[in-house]
Amino acid sequence: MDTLEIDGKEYEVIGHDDKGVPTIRGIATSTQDGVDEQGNPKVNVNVTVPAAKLLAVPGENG
Amino acid sequence: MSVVTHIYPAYINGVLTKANSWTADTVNCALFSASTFTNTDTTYTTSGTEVASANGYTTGGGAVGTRTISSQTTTPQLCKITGAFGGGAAGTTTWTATGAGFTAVAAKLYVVSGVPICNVDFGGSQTASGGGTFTITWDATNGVFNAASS
Repeated sequence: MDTLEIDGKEYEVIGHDDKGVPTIRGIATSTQDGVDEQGNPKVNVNVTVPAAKLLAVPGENG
Repeated sequence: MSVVTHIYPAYINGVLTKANSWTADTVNCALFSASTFTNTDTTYTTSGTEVASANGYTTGGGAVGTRTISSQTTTPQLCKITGAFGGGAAGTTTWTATGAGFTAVAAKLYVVSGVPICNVDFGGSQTASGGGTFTITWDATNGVFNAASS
């Protein structure tokens, strides 16, 4: 599993977009890819949602 | 900023009392302009902060489609979304933003005409526009949420 450390926290890299930018689970990102015919920026948003734990594994949270 | 999910106690209670089913209920995902999590909420409410209907988004959000749960003999129990809304890949919920688009800071999963399931805080405002897509990718490995046995 590829990971990246950002601000002291480790995140999972789950893929790359067509420009090679990593997609990171748990980070919301936006990228601009040109403009539409009205001049609005074409912006794509990607939100990768990490799982929430309903119950902690014993010992994990004390 | 990190994406953080909070599960509503009312949904956990609903599952444990068989009032709700992760795999059988109709579950929608809606976008919000404010991230609010009130753990005493027992009914899904937009509280006036759902993203308005315009530019590719329609209030109420979209049905996330198929959901799965692990077999009963495994731990942790993984509750996943494998369906797709908006024409994206399996396990994604997608809107195509037209024109000036729309902005959201959070999403909620909820049982239609029922309880809220969870609030997903994006960690900041996200705006899609100009024909771009607003895509939420659910965790295909560990699920939207999971429960480990002790």
